[in-house]
Amino acid sequence: MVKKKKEFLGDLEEIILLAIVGLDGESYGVPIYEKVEEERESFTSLGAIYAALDRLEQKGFVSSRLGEATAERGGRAKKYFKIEGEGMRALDEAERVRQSMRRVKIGLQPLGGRA
Amino acid sequence: MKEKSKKRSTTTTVTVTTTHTEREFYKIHHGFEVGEKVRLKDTDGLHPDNVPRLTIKPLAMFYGEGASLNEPDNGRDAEQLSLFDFSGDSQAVEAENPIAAYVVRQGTIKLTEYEPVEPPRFAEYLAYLLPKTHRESLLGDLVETYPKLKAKQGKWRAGFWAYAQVGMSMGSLWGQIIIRLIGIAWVSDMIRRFTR
Repeated sequence: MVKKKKEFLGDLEEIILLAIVGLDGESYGVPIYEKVEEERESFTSLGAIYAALDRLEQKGFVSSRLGEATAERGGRAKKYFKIEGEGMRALDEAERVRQSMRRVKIGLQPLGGRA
Repeated sequence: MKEKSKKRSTTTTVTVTTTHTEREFYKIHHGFEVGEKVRLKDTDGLHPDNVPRLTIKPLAMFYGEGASLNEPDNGRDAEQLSLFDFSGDSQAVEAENPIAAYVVRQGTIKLTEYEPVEPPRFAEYLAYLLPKTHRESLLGDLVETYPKLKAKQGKWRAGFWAYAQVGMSMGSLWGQIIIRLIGIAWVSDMIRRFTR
């Protein structure tokens, strides 16, 4: 059986995925941006967020759909992003790697990898 | 009475008949399309068949302090006048967008509370240089976020934020495309060398 190559998450990608999870698993640009900016406490560009969302979509971690146009957005449609199962798994994996590395740091045996 | 009328008219949606230029204006700043059929949302107690079709005149004509609210005649409430006087010849069509503008029909003007707060125009124009894939979503995000920031941090900081967003976004979104193009060029160069 061909083993699928592991896709790792970048810093911004992970924060975006966590933000989407925190926003009930589906959200659009503005709430994601606000959440990311709140967590990072630094300037983040919307373009960087969309670029990261693009990469996440290519990796199959999120899916997108066009939403409704609203007056408060000047008649422009929202683009909703929804976290997929692969995205949740990637988050779990990132957490596992982090914990494992932490154990190494404090002199414990690292956790075993996934089967 | 005016206060009541203002409050009611915030939920007014309208059928628009304007020229092409104005169509662009309304589409961008008010979220509805010319010719889009919409209805009054705030029509408690009104039979659906009697919900009026309204016409909006170009916003620029009425926008600002100089606009006046025509007093309704017959001693009736302004909101009632605007609803019932139009009830004879129209039908309702569903629409989601609450529209804010001066609604004009048969000499009656309803003044709404809405005042659009828009990002700096030039920043919006610059945003049109962004890659098409996310341009609309990003512009929408800009328009949605700017008023909140302006209220919280003031006009100058919000303006700076808008320009910074557009500038940085150009780097992020075009950068990704440029890296891809370089990758494609490199691969095609390798193939060319290999097959030579």
